[in-house]
Amino acid sequence: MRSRRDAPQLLLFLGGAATLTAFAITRLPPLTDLVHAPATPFDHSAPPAAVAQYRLFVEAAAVVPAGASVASLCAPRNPTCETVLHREAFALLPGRKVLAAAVWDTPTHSEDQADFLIIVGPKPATPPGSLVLETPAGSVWRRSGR
Amino acid sequence: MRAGLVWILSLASCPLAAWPLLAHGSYRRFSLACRLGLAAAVGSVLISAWMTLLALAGLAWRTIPLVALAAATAFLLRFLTEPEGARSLASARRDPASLFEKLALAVTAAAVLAALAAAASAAATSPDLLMIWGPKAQAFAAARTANTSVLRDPLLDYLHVSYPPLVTNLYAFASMAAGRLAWGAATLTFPLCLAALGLALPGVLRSVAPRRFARAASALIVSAFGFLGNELDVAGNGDPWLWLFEVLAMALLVGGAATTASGQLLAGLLLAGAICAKVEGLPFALAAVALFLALRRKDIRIGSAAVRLLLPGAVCLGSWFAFGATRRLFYGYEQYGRFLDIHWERLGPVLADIARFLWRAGWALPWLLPVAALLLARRKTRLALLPIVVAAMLAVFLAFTYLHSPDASLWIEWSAGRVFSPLLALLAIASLCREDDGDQSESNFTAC
Repeated sequence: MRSRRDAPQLLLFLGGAATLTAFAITRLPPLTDLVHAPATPFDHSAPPAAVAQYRLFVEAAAVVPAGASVASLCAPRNPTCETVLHREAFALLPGRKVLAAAVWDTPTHSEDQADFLIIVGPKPATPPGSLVLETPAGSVWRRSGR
Repeated sequence: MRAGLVWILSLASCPLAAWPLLAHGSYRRFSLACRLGLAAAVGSVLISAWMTLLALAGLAWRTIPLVALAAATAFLLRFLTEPEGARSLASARRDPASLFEKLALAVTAAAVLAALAAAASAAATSPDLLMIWGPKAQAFAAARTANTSVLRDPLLDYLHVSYPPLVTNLYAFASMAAGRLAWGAATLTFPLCLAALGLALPGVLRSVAPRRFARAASALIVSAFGFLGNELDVAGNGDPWLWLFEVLAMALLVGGAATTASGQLLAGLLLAGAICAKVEGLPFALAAVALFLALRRKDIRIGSAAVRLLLPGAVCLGSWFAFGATRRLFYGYEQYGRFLDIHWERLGPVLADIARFLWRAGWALPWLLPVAALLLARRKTRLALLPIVVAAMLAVFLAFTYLHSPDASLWIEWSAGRVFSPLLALLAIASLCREDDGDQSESNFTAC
């Protein structure tokens, strides 16, 4: 008798749990992607451009030595984009002196003092130094005379 | 790969550190699985608390001494509990699980596995991991303390200098063990917190409702968090930690264990975790404790209960603010606008935006299902008011916070689903607070 009175709430709990779990499963990436380790922690949770940027910074970490100063720029220049790039560079280039080309969407021009430049986007027409790395997302440059 | 493995495995120190406390006889009312989940939560609070205290004292962090200090604290805390062996034995009777209960456990396990698949395939990663939690923890790990040069740098103020330290501390702890921050491993804290919740919650809710209700409600809560975690990209941020602490604390407060010293101590440690995991943990804890003391005043000694419930949080958050003040970094939380500078004209749009973004997360089912369960629940007790009123107060607090912005649409879009998520668990717990039908095998402890 008691069970019958409790049944609606119990069924709601369990039916709701099963439904939400089924929803969660349907939102997973395809099985082929589940069985391979992702290349970055953002492969299926960020736009492809952001994933490519993440990979650029990780690869830049291999060519920008510890202690070097580095700034990241957008091509074409965009202080909003460069504000975000500074934050990504600070996260992904530990041990380097990360200079902000822009803060809160305002240019700082600190990039003039950087040993290395990471340029997200197409290669600049005038090279800012010697090219040390190029990926589909951008390039890394050692500044001349530094 | 190896660094990631060490990073995530180092978090096993949390249950190890708290086990001396959870092994105490007064906690044997809870199953072994439940105590493991509780130990994971309590251990993370103790390790983080010691990291903050050592930072305050100017002493460098070392992983093994940190675990030893946390374990020693857990051992000393045993003396604040009372021997309750007889009552524990009374509750130790285990009836075989029914098919319904087995199904509930299976759905809980499936929800955790789905969360694991989402996190491991990089489908649920929070952008805040890269923007806030990760770099801050990395800097703390490199300095082996709360890094004052990073916290003082005006170019890095987006890291939320005064933000409560628990998640940052734990990520720094794991990073010190692994030698670096393992970004992918950090995302696995989402299924890990969910697994700890799935282990502990059914057992804690057993002192609130019959076992079939406890397991079914736990399944709903865990699966709702699993779904939302993937949908709202929480892997690597503070939300899963907040879920763990808030939900277990509330489940304890409405159960019979909260009338005992050991139950109050445990709830106090979990509330400390909530307070130090995210800023909204503090209003949650204050509201929960105030209502608990008011609603259960006849079952408890108010003074000693208040001390057990609030002292751990006061120590953890107080030491963080003391650290900030002594380094002249911060003297409280950052401002989210002047307190009374409220854009009342935005009330309609703010409420509409909140509703819109909750609806977007699975047609608001994660919230509507617990509301329906609450409406269906028979013979609710007065104690159901505790989670309901706390949920209402949190909702008002969050809406009030949004009203401080002249246009909070974007802010609501990326945060509403996450910050309102604990409410679903509070409502589900409230739906379990009902008069005893006589079929509660742990009725010795049942006050709901």
